[in-house]
Amino acid sequence: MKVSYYPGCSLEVTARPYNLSCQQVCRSLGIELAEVPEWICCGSSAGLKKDHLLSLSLSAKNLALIDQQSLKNVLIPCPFCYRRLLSAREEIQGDAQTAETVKGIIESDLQAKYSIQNILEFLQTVVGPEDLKSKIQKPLRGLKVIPYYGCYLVKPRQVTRFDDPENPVSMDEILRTLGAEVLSWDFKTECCGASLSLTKTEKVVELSSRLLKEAVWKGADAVAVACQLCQSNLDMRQGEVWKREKKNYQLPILYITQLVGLTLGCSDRDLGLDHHLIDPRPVLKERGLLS
Amino acid sequence: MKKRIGVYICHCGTNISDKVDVAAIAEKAAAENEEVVVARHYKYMCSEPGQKMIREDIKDFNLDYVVEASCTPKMHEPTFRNAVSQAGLNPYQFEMVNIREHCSWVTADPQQATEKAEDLVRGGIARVRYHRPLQGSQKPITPAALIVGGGIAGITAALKIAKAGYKVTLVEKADIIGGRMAQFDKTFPTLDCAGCTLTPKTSEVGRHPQIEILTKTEVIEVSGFVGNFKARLRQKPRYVDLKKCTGCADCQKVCPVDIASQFELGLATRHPISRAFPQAIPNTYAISRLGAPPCQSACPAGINMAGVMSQSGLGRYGAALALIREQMPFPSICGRICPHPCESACKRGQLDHPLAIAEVERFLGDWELERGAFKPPSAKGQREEKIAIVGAGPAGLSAAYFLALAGYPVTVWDKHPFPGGRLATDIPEDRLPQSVLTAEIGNLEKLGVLFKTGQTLGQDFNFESLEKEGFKAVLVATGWIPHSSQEQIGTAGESVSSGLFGLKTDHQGRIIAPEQTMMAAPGIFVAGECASGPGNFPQAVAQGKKAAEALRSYLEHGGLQEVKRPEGPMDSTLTEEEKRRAKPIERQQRPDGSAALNGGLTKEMAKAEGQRCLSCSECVRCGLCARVCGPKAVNLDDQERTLDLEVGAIIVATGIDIFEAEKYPEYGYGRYPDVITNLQFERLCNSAGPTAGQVLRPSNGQVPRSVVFIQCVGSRDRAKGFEYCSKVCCMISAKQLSLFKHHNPEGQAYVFYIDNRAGGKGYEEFLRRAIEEAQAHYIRGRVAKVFQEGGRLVVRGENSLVGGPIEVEADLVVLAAGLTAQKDFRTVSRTFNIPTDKYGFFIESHPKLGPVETALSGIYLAGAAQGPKDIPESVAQGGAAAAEALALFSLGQVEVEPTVSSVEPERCTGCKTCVDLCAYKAVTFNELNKQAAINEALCQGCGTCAAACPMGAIEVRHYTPEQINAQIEGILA
Repeated sequence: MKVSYYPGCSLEVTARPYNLSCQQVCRSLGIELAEVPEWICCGSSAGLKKDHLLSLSLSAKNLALIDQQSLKNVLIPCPFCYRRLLSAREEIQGDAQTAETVKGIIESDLQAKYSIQNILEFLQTVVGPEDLKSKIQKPLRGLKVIPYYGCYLVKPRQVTRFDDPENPVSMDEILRTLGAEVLSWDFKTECCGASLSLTKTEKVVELSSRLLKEAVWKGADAVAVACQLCQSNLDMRQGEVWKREKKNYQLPILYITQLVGLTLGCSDRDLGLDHHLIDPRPVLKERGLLS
Repeated sequence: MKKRIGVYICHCGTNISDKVDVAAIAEKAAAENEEVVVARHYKYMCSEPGQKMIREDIKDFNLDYVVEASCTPKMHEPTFRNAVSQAGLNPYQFEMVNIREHCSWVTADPQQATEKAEDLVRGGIARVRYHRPLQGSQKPITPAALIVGGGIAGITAALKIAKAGYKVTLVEKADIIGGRMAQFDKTFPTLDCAGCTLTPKTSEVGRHPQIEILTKTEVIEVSGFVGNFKARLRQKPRYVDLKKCTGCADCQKVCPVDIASQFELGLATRHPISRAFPQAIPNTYAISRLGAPPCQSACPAGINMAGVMSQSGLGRYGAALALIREQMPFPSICGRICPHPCESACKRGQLDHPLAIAEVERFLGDWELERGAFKPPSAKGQREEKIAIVGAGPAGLSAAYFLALAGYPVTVWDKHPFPGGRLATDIPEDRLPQSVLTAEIGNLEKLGVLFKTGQTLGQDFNFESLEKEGFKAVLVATGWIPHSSQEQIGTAGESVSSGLFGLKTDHQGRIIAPEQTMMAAPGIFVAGECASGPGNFPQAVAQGKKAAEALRSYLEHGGLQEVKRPEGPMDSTLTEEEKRRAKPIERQQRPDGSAALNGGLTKEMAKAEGQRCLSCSECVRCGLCARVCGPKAVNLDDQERTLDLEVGAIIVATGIDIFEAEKYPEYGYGRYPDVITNLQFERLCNSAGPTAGQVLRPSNGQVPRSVVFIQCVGSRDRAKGFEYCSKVCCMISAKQLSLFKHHNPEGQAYVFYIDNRAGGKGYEEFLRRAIEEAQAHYIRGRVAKVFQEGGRLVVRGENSLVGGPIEVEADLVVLAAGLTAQKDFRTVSRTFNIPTDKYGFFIESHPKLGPVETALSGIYLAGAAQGPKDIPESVAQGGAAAAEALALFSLGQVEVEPTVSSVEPERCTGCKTCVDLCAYKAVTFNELNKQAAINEALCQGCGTCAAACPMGAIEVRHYTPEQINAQIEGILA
């Protein structure tokens, strides 16, 4: 099957492993990803909050480009791009005046009848647990994984309409299908500090330290994420966290797509496992999960 | 003839006069209309001077009619009607015009308001001319009260009415009276023990000769009108005789089933035979049984399989066999060949695998055979009448067993050289070994049953010969012979053209006999396949038992039979509670997969299998309690009964439930055992509760060091659809944290609140003490989340006075759940016809002045069913409702208002349009004269029937078209 693919700015550069592993997983599952041609920024960066119309128009442009692909689904791994495009579509379709204005700016019509999905929704509904299970070559064999959804992906309920905003379970179910031992915890949707990494690093370290301490307390081997900001905060800033806590741990932070890819038999290089600051390969090797 | 009309305009303080020029209107009324002989205006017409003005004017001016313009008639029409009638004028020759709610209060511009008021007054004057003097009527009253709900409000009302000398029936749905208060530990603000204040009252109610308490009872239908109600009640069986039970608790030691206790709100378990607490009234035990379990309902023989499995689970195989034999005598045979519909119905099957009931039954039969442990139960007396059974198949054998047990001498004939019928001839040895069949039939011989094999009916013997030998009745159970191959054998052996053994058959060859009596000819009965067509083993056995009963009723009672209703089935959906009860035991199977074809289950396996039973019906009727009960108070055959009651007044005091805290998933209720509701905390404090009065953490039984109270869970929350304030939770939490501090002086209490509502007497002072003496930390802010970090519970909320988030570690979190309507409020609302608000609380007739009355005369409210309130208010309302009832009773008669519909007989064509329209069931159709008839006492004068009548045959007195048209013309003039 063929699916539209919108990586977004972040996945292009700083979050390359997410991009790589996502594409690799789809390849292994026999899904053809058609990257949106000439896509532009989705409009969810902080500066563009000042100009709502600009943000809306950027999203609209992308929505129109996806229209042209004539595909039924578009997969958007980045939670911010995902929510931005969803909200923009709802806003434009909800008000005729806004729709007029925006269509005028992007100089094209806008249907956007396709389904906009995040990676978890995609794996659960488009791929499906039975299909995924049948293609698994190397199950995760009881690897203790903490599912971390982040604050942005499953909220607000009225926009994402997917999973439960207080206690989501989609990632838990995917990990269970992969054969991991999924640990339960109460910090599934607690914020890691998001984009404050550069502007208020201390806050990110404070919030991320709470998450990491709880993950370690639960006995996790790794933390699974579906957001590149979560990944970078928990991974890049982990050193500072443990320095602050005066402890010495190395807890790998892995993209859900990397874990899926591992079970499908992809190599660690193809999944970008060598790009992390906290190297996940020792733990994975120890569990016999690396090819 | 010219009328004399008096017009009065009220200022209503400044409510009317600040907008409406009242003086001008009075002047104008007199000037415009010569029939208006006096027109006045006054500051407060409803006051005594105002009313005196009217009374005196009526006399002085000889008035025929009075028009009064002021507030809504809902407020003061009775006041003025009364004033008018005191002066000797008929109260219906009065018209009240609303120039406040309809005018001054809703019009901004004074000019417009005055004009409108003028128009309205003119309309009133125009109308009043057409008023006729009306008389109400008197109806007698039944001086007895029905009180629905045995909580503190109902109890108070009951005592007050009873003490005045009238009869009271107090109906309560639960096993005991006392309501919510019985669950509390202490009450605020005095910290009186709830039990110590409640139990003297409940005890008094229990003893009072004028009060009849009916527990486990609900009102299912109400008809009639004020002073003359008919109520139908349904009482569920208690299974324990109220007069015999001494409360000795011997039954507690033997009951094998544990279920979650609703009284303890899930914090503890109890046996299905239980008593909420030792001081409960009625002070006896009660058995909770939800109905026949699915296994029993599915079994054609109605075997109490749940009881059988529970006894097997305890290793009491003899007792299990006895339960089987109550319905079916052949466990070893049945366990091998029955198609076991019980297993398909078994609720455990909805969870993992159904119980291996057939296997266990087989084990039990074999266990008994191996030990030769069958003890023929002692026959209930000896009877003389000999009974002949033709056909030693399962139907005949079963009938023989039950008849022998009843003391009858039974002889069974069979044409084969051996008994057993198809059990012997058609089932292969590996399914049903001959030895097992012989052994189980041998048990029958131990009971005294005689067998005559190798003899065929119609050839070797017939009905006449049996009669000559002294047999009083014959049961034909010869099995299935298709019509085509039936030998047409007559009674004397001659060949006949139709029927079987001289008995009439239908076109399929089944012998015809009525289902109830099973008698095909005088003294000749039929059972089994020969009558019902091809069937299976349990069906045959069930038929045999039924035939035994039919025979007995024929011989003992001349054919009359008590129609015993079989026990109704219970709900077949698996509940969360049942899932929790399920023991984690796998279905027992031999390693090679099959138990049936080889030696069957072992003793250990049968026991384990028995323990898998969910006891879904709660009480499984194992009979252990009945056996150990000294006073013989347990009656497992108790049945539901229906009672009819005639009363004059009804008080609905059905109380409240508490908010389901699961609706706030972010608070972790149901996920963390240490997150509980305020009512559950109350049970922890109560000395008869699950922790014997100690406040302990449910997770580990340790004393909590910090307790965090979260207020307004399910109250004041628009997002959850519960906007109202539950009134008592602020005080409850203050009370509970004070109790906690008494139990644990070292502990620390926190309360996350929005406001502190402490409006009652001594409440504010109590709250202050909670803050100052108990040193509780009151944090003003809502709670966002209760979560676990590092294994400890943390409460995160807002500290709004400081302006930031706050996190508190808690050993115990208490959710102040709000008060809600009972879950069955819709049923109660429909039964009594009392409307409810959107939350399910019953609506009173006036929120300020009529809190215990409803729109229905004679039906009153009391307590929290009308809206959240504390105990003193519930008690006060109980007294108020009692006063309403007593006022009714002491009058002896009820005045029925005349402003009701009436049918003009000449015009009614009997179309029945009006009959179904009446919301108060006041219109009936008289079949004799084919006309509508209106019950004036029930009619509320709404006018629906009058408006709908296509012939215009119905008129509402005092709201005639003439009067209304005049009013409209007056307004528009």
